[in-house]
Amino acid sequence: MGRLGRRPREDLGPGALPTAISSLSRALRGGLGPETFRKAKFDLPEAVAELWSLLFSLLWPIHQEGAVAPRDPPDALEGQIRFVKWVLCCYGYGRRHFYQLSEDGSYGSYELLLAFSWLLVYLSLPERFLCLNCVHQGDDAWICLCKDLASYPVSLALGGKGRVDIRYVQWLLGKLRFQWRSLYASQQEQCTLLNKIHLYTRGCHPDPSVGHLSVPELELLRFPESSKQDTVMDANPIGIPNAGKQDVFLPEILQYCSPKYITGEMDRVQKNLEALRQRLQETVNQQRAAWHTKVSRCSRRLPRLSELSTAMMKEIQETVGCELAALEQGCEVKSWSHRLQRLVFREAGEPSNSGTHQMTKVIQVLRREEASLEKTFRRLQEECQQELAILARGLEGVIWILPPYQRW
Amino acid sequence: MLPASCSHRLVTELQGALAACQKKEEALQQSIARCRVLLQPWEVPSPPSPEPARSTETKPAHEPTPKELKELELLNQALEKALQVRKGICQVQSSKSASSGKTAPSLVTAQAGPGARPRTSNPKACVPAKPPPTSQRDSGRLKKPARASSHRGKAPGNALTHARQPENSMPIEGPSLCPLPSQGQVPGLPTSTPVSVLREAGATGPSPGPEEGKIQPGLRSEAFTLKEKGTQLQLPLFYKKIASRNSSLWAQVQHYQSSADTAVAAAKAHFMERMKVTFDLPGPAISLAEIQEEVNRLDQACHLLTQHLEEALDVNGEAATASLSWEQEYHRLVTLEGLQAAVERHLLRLRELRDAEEQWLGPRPVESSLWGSALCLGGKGSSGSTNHIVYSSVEELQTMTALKLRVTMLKQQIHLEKVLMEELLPLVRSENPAGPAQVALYRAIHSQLCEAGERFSILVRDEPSV
Repeated sequence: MGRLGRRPREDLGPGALPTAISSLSRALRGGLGPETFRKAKFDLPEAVAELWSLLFSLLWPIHQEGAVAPRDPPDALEGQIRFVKWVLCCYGYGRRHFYQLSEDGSYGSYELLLAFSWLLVYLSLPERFLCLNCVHQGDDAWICLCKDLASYPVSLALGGKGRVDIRYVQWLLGKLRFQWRSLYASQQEQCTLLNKIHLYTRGCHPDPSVGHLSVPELELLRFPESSKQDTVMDANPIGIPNAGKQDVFLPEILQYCSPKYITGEMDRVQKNLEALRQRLQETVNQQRAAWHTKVSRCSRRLPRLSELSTAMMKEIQETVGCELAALEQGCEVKSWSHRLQRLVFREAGEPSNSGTHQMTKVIQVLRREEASLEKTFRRLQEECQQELAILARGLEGVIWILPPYQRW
Repeated sequence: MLPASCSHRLVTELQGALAACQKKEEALQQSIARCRVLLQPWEVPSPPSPEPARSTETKPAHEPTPKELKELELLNQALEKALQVRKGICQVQSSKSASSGKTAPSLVTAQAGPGARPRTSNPKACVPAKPPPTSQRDSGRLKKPARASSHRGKAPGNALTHARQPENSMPIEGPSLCPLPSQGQVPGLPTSTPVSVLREAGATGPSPGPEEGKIQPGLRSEAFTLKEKGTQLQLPLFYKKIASRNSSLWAQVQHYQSSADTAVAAAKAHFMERMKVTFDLPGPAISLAEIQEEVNRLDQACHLLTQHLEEALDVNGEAATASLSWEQEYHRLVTLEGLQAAVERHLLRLRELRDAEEQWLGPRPVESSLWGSALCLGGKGSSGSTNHIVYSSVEELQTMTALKLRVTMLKQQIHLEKVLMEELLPLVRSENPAGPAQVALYRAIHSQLCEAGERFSILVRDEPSV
């Protein structure tokens, strides 16, 4: 049967399906039993409500994770059903019968089973459960920056009602600068402390590739009575690779998928691309002009361009082609940076396994990014400068003395 | 005063930024507090255990009753017997932790004769345990699951007592854990053996009898710091077992995932195909979720292209073109043209995505205006197994975190700068300078937009001299 398309075991015989279903039921929240699936297979109406609530309980937390203003989940079945339909529509589920199911939950368990199975494969739910339920006992070091500060959605409620003076804005900005400084100091402190802990506990970890304890593990020793210990014990897998915990937590990795938001995003990306295009246009024209003058100057002297042969030119073209193709693939760090990393301290000179990533590489990538962001920022400032300079000249009766210009 | 809409937007954005920083700061402070607690001296906590018997052992002067003494006798005899047994089979046992799990419980149940639960009788019985430490050392290392419970609170203690053993990674024998006062080796966390440990029967067997190795009631234990004794700590046995089982299971999962199990993959693909055939809803082939993903990809690509452009222009530090070699200059030219082509492609793709989205925005099968704000997709590529990221000095770690912070900060600054530009520049363009208030406004705007608010210009009124 291809209904539940994912098999945890190699044997795809008929005996594997009940095992798969039972482990799936165990992994899902809500105490759904294998009988529900069986009833749904035969399109029995008893399973309908359960399946709707299962789908809702899986999909609602996803919605909540990224919401700017968290909502209360709809209590009524009707609201839940509408929500589930909307989500599946976003994902491109295209069975018309499903969307035509009535909102009182009186029939349609077979359709629901199909939808659930499709979702299972499309979203790789079992693996997702595993990833989210696994207990990370290491010191996490999220390399990926996309979940960081700048991308937090801003709630409009913070705006307040009245008009404010520019000085209030300046004050807020100053406050922000102070925040950054104290963040920096705190972070540095945290690094030193972490490093100390790693240093002091070298040799204690059973896994030799790690070698030292992390903060959660150390807390396990220090406070054995703490509830964290229960988490560790509960995470004991039942012995089937796809079995997860009782509770299901859903992904933290967020992307937004609503028409207004998408349009907003598209506008932003379009603006950026167009700005980039314009900039490229100017630069390319400049470069091309310079190149042509250079070439023409030389060719006046010599019949053929000796400094740069056609073979060389081809080679350069190929190199550039490769570089740009690599760009399209994205940065190497970015590909693995979305995973959770465990921070490991190892003295310089010790051998490292294949599964590790060196921090020096990360630092390199970050430096590149920092440099380019700084340039972008400076460019914006210069733009403003030019614009305001025009204004300054237009001011009558005022002499505008700029502050002494310092290069960073 | 700024106009209302402008005020509102600016304040919203700034408060949002401040709130985000605040959140991050709190998280950092929490983490710092956790580390600090661990680095301070580890003291012996007085056990808050609900077991009444346990509380008596904290009293320094505990006099065993005759009944207890008798129990103690029995236990000691059993202990010695156990020692003999263990000596004989220690070599075999050390490789089979599972089997040792069985022996311990059987020993324990034998010793639990007097009816009292092993846990309760043990602490009292433990007092003058006789087995000489040396014999245990000879018996080598046994992975006694019984040890596990004592290890919970005593891991540092155990390790301390027998830290001299070369291979410290294995837990150490039980009877030796009944420390005699004369030995002078003081475990760090003796009485903190928590109830929960013992509650946890699980794979590690019930709590051991005499091997409980609780501290004698009379002993005061010293605090120790992580710095001094950190390398001698041991994770509790049950944890190690679970952790190793966990990693082996993860390896299995990885194997299944990556082994390109064609039967499974084919089954999946076949299923999706069959489902797709039955899809009869009108609309573009690309779903909203996919559109979103592609838009993000384009955003990322734009960012990378910009970065590449900056780097290409910055070769030789924006030097004059004349100083570049022929190859370099040609390279730059070709790169720029390549970037141009890429940008055009992306813009085209964006237009296609827009068209598709507009099709979706039209009649849809489901009322969606309720869920306008956010629907989140999970990234399908996320994997659960952790990679290690290795650093070799504290400076490296500090540099990396500082850089991460700086990059985030720059992104935020750029975002805010754009917002400020959008809101404040129109004010500057539109009105003519009237009074000093207006001029002051311009000064403030200039300082913020051009100097990041760090420096101010000086405006001098040019009075015609009378």
